[in-house]
Amino acid sequence: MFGYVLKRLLIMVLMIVLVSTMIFFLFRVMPGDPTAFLVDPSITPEARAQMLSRYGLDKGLWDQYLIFMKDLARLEFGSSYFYNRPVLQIIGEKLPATLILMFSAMALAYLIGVLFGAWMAWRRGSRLETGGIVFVLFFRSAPTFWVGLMAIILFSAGLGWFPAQGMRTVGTPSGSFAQMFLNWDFLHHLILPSIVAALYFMATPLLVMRNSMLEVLSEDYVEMAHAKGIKPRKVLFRHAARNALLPVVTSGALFIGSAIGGQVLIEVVFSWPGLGREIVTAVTRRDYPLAQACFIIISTTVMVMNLVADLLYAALDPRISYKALKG
Amino acid sequence: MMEKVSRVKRNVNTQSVFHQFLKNIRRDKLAMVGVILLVFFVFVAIFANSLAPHGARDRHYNEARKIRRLEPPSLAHPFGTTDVGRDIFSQVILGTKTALTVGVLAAILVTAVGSVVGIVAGYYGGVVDVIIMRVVDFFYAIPFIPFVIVLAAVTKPSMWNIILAVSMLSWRTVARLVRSQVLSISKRPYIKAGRVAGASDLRLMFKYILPNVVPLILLEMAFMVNWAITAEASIAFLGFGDPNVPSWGQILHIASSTGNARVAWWWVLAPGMAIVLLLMSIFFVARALEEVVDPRLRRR
Amino acid sequence: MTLLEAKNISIEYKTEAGVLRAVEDVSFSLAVGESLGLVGESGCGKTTLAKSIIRLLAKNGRISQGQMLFKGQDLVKLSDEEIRKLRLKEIAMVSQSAMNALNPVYTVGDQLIEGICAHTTLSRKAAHARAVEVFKMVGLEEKRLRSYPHQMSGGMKQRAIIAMALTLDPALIIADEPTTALDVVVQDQILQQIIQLKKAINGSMILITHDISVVSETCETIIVMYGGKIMEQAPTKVFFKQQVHPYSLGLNNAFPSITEIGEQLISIPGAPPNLLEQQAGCRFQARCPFADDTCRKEQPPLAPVGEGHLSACHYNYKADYFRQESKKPQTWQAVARRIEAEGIQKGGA
Repeated sequence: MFGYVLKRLLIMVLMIVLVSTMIFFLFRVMPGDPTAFLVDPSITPEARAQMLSRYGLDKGLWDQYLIFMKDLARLEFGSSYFYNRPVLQIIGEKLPATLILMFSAMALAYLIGVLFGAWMAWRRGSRLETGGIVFVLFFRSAPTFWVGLMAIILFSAGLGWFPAQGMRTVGTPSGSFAQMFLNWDFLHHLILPSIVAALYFMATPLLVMRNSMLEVLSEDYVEMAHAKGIKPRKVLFRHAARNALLPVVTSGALFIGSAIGGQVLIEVVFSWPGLGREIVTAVTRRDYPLAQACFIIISTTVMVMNLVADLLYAALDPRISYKALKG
Repeated sequence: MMEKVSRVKRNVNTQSVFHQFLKNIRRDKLAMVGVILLVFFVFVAIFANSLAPHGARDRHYNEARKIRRLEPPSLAHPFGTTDVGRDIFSQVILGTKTALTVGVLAAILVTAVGSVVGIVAGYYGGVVDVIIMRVVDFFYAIPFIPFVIVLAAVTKPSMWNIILAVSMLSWRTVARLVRSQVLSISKRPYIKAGRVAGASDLRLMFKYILPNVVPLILLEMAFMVNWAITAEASIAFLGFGDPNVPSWGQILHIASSTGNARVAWWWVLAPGMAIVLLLMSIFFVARALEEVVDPRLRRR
Repeated sequence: MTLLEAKNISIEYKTEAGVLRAVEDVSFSLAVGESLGLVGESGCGKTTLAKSIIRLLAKNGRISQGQMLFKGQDLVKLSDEEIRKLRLKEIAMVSQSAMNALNPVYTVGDQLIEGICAHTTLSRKAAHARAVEVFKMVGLEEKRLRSYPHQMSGGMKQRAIIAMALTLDPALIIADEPTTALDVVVQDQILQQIIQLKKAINGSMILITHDISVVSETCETIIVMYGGKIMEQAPTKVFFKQQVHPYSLGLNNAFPSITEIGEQLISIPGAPPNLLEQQAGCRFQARCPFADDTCRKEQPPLAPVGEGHLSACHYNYKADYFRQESKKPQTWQAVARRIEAEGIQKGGA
């Protein structure tokens, strides 16, 4: 088991390196002033010369790459043109907001998705199932940013139940972690975006769970459980759902990558101060150091989540861990 | 007589799949609805220029020579007007053309590339497979929207660039799915028999394996159309779209960036519902095909 | 004393292509301690009939007619919950393919204990003790309770399933093809196990199989089914000496006998009937060497031909003659030719 984890970690590190390399070349191979990506065009010529030398822009591409990778290893992302502060600091501020929203939405999505998917498989062929399918496909077809906009129109501007923007009401103190996140105001702001995000995330676990359940329900051991006289609901959860969950977890790993996209859109619609919104504004402002770093951090987050999902799957299925133990 | 049998056997897959697909559509009410809607959208897309009562950028004035700012739906403007008096109904109709063009083109590109990669990897196996799959893994590590955003930072916003941007990553899904299907097909006896009989690799791949993978490829292509349309709308919404081309995402972008999205519900509802209905119709039709490809989903 | 009595049971499935009559007008009775063998080809309705006793049919299947009296109670009229309570406790099932009847993510012991706790108020510890007891009865070690299904061989899994059926001392055990999925050596072991257990407990058993030889060793009564109806019913000893029905005679030919080595095996040509279509006349007439117009038009009643011996044929009195003729390969070859001719007639190659 340990060997397996180690192997996966090494692959992950390799991927981070490759993705960073790609970003490096993307920004430098494109037409236009290459220095604009690293050096704020509005600074003095002396400072400019210093920066050019610092980033190796007066040397060859390979030297620049080495400097870039060295900086990356030290988490040295440079300074933001717009904020005039170290990029790392800004990311540190924005990352928790993204993570909290993402995890709340995912927890909600998986919970509802799995339950609803199992129920839909159970009620195969009924009119309720057809209604359920239409409901699911509706939310899978509706672009998540549009759902967000409509939600704001209905529940915020219309009914006035929830705020439409941001993480906190303007003017509230923002000191410690507890002050920022552990209060009702924050929760109030979190509800609408996380529900909208959950509706977007929900489609995959729901459909996978439903298909998986349909397959599991026709298995012999489910019939055996019924033959033993186990209560139907218990068969559904203890036997059918438990086994049907395995593919849901693996598909979760693959889907996390595309979930980030939805996250970005929702943060923009709700003006949620997270990394997703930051990468959009950074690009629009041509704040390249920040944009580049946001991209790398987002990619890394996705990879870490993938790894966790893979390990979770190995832990859940005794057949896999048995094989892993054997070598 | 025996010759006929062997010829029929090879083609019977695609033929019977198609027949089963048509049968499923007739049987499944949702699929019927999907077909009708889809035909409607294609019709609108083809005749968009004639169907739209006004241009996308025409401004409209009322009797008092004042611009029709932010007007809710009326007989003259069924979907209302924008903040500068443009007719949203025409914009949505013209946007249909963009949506279907982008969707279909990107889907074809993605499916073609992904399928070839998947078939090659699945058929040859061994080192070739490992190398190809590592490359696919790399592409999977790249998050989609952030990548497209960053790409938008370094390229000019044009429709073709958007199609390329969407296609550059999405082929990875098709490649993985096709590969696993090909792997299971490659193990079947008639492939081995073909090899023993001396059939070349290309011939085996395209005349024996491909026909069996086609239903899955078509199914994935349908999903890719949806994915491409959604991706384009999202990119346009974020402001990285092509401002010269009328698209549903672009309409929503302007509604949102001008700060009117909270009040002008008609501006937001119309293009969004267009996207929803088009994508849902494709999903309904795809479901009928899905039941053919995956027999476990069949109803009793 | 009668434990189970089926009276005119008909079972149908609602499919998209129409109503499928899986079982039609079947009656039999089972005494306490008696073992009954249900024999027939795949699709003849034997499994459907047995599963219907504890209402294990698919969602589109149901008992459309008749009574199923268990200890005097009509099972057909009971609610789903009442039937559920009877399962395992009164009527236990040993299913085909034990390979897949065990959930791969739980230990075998857990699955046995689950069954026990679903029907009793025993503590987990007491349930565990009982599980150990039944495992011993089938010859499995206690430590096997902690194994996962994939860690056990086919024979072990089958034994575990049998043990599971024994946990609550049911009055009736239904064994559905308990040896089919196993290799021959293990088959014999399991068979011996079943015989031993039969003697140990005083329960009744319904054994479903397509292998007549299994029945000859384990059951007192045999019922032969075809196309959803009973063809012949007899005490086992009588049956193996003197079959009456042409279908039984045909089956007999398909199995090698130890005494006559080197004989040619003759199989019954043709295929079972399509149960979606209504059929006038005898279900077996298409493949029967002795069928005539009466057989094609009228359904033969299940008539007595001896002590506890019934046969559904218009020509039961010709049994001796049939027995002789059926031993000849020519008889069945004629059937094969007749079927081919009819097939060409019906249209197309």
